[in-house]
Amino acid sequence: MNKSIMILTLCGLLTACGGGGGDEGEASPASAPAPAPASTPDTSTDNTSNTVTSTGDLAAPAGFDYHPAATQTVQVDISGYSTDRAYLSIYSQYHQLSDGDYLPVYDSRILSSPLAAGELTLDFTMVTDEGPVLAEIWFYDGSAPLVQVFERGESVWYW
Amino acid sequence: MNKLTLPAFVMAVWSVHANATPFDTCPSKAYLFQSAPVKVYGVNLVTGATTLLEDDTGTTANVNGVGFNFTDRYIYGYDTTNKKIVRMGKNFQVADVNTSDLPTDHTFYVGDVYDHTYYLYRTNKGLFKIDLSPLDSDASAVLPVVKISSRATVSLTDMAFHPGNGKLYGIDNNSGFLYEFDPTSGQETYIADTGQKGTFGAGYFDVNGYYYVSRNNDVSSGGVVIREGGKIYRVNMSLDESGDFVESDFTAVEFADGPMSNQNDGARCANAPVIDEDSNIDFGDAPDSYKTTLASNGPRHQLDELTWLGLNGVDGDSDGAVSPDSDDLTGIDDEDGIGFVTAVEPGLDTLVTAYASTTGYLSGWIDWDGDGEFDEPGDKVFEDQLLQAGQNVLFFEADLNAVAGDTWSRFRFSQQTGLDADGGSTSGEVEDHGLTITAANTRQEHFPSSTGFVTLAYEDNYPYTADYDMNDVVMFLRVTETLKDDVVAKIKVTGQLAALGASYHNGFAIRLPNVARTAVNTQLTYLKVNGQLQSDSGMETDMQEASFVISNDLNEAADFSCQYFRTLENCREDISYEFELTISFNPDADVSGLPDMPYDPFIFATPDKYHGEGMPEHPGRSWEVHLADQAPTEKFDKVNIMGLGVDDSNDATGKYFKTSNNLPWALMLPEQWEWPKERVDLLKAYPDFEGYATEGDGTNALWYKSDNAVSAETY
Repeated sequence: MNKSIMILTLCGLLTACGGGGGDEGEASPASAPAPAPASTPDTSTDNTSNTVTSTGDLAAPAGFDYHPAATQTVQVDISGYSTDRAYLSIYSQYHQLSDGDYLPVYDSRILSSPLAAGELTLDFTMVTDEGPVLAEIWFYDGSAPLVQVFERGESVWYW
Repeated sequence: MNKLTLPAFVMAVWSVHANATPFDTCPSKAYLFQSAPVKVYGVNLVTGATTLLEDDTGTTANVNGVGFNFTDRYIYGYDTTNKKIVRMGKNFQVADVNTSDLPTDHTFYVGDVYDHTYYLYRTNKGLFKIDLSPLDSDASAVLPVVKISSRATVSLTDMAFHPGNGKLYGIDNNSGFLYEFDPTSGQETYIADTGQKGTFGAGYFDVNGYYYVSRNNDVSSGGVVIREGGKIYRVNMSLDESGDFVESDFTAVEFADGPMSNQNDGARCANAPVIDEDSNIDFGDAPDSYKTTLASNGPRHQLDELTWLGLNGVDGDSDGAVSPDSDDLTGIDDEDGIGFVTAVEPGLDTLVTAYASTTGYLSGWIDWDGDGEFDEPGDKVFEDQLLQAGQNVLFFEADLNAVAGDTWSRFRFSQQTGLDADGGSTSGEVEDHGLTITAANTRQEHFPSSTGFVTLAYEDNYPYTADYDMNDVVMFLRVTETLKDDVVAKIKVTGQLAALGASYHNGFAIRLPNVARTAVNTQLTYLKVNGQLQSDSGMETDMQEASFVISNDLNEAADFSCQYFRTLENCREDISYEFELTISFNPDADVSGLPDMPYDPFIFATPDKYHGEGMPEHPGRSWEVHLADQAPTEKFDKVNIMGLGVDDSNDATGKYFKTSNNLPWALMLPEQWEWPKERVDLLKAYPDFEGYATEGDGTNALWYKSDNAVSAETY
């Protein structure tokens, strides 16, 4: 996904969602610090170097541990927007509806956590995979959730 | 025979030959015959959904006393207008059947067919029978009507043969009593009070011995409906192997809402199950203590192609899916319409989202006290809540006395109102969802996700050269951590044994490195296998570290009949072994050293079993295989096993379970992986593994995806 388009989409979404009493002139949740460039895994297939036919003939670099998971940090601070009781969920899969809204695949939840006065920082374990993830913050008044799409490969997700 | 009836007789013979084609199969639906001229409806007994099949049967008469003949696959009935016997085939066109000695002083509206014989009953007149076999060779044969008995004291409006014992059963309309009739003598025997009265104009059996009765019309008293018409009730009359009733309780249980009617009669092929192979009925997938399966009168919805939850529509299920299956594992993932988007904390407001395909009514239940049932009054959190098409945000207040921990919810979305947590519905969908009731400041982390699995694939020829088909043990695994105030308080590990391509016997265990065994709260730690609580959590009490043996012998646990379990193309079997390990820690326990999920899942040699040459005989628990660079447990026999063969493990460098070429004996894949078939080298099935392993820098990171597989080489 093209990042500049993604952020524009999110801004539009949040404006459209409205509500919650926040002042859009300051500290919009979408105006998080720009994350570092993504170091996404190389997903291209390697069709040229298949030189052996038996796994037992391969040699891997020393120290390679074949571990398809890594620690991911998520850092949320929406206190400028709201400090009300709120709840963060992150989903590995989601749909984008025809009206632009996102609908999580609820079964694909990776984590769920309350925010403390609009803030949360935590590390968690996530498998290596492709595609962005969807984060939602719900307030308990039933207003529309805040929504953010995060790219895999960024070691810290800022919100 | 007088002249007036002769043309009719000729017509009848003609119509038998021209129109009557028997049914192709033994259909699952019930047939309801109503009115004059008679109309034929198909009733789905499971949901109550009714469709008009034929409103022109070629007669102006009413046909009653109908029964399905399994032998020739015609429906036989009695024409109450013209007092004659008729039959109809799959096109529902009436054809006359010629008889002699049919009584002319009264009609019949009670009848059924069994063993190629049509039985007719009339209260105070008697029980009669007609042998139908002459029709096999001559559709115009004249069939004698034989009076079995004059005894007919029970007030019946339908009766049905039990396919298991060949006896007739009917419910007396006035008393609600269930009677059994001996078809050779007409003698009735009282069985039990079903608790339901009314004119049960249609009764049907299914192949499992359940008896279904349908009440014709509302019964009113003083202007108030005291018994609703159209209700379908079910009586469990299933038989055990010796032919005795399994249940002693014959109470008629409300099963579904069918059509109201008069001049009502039913016929059904009693040898059919009530659900077709190509089911168009949705079931839930909570444990069966919540009443999920059809046998438990679990909730089910007729698919109406209009009403469902989520984006994905609904698929038909043959029955409620209970462990180790789930509704999402069969067909499409259709349990996708309900989201618990906030914490569920006792006494506090909770938000739930419901994505609806159209307007309709939602009812919902949550098992607050974790007793495995939705039976408490407070369990019902939504009642006929009107939903709009699209996303709906709904509130409820979590029960103040809710018990923290895992429990189940059930949501039913339908065009009908008044649904309970069980029973049939003519439209919509049922979704069952597990949820966690939490205390304050609690979060959950799922690996890889709340319903996903990673795959662990082991080679068991360690420490010698593997054949790298990576299927000796294949386990799907999911871990959920519940953290209270940032400290892990509870761990739930769920696993499914996906394949066993091993000749040796192996066990499976999970160790929590750097966590002392004494940190575990043994009272709140337990193991379930296929939904059954085990007497022992599997914790290894002779270890310092916390470690749990899930199974000492997966070959025993898997219960399979092929040479290998799910690695051979020509011998496919279903997943048959699922476990759920719940680990709780003591309040002040130090779990700060706990590594990332999934910790350390490993295989070990089954005790007292041979595990290959060049090793200690029967190494048992002292032989282990872990993921690459994961140190073995304190029970591993480092002295006699480590470094043998091609193992290049080395305590000093922290290298474990790898060869000198740094190849592993075990891999973890981030999703439910399609493993190579028996003796197919990993590279042959997944060519991109070469670049992944030899470069070691993220090249071909998605080598394991099915898109990158040679599909003929994977299971």
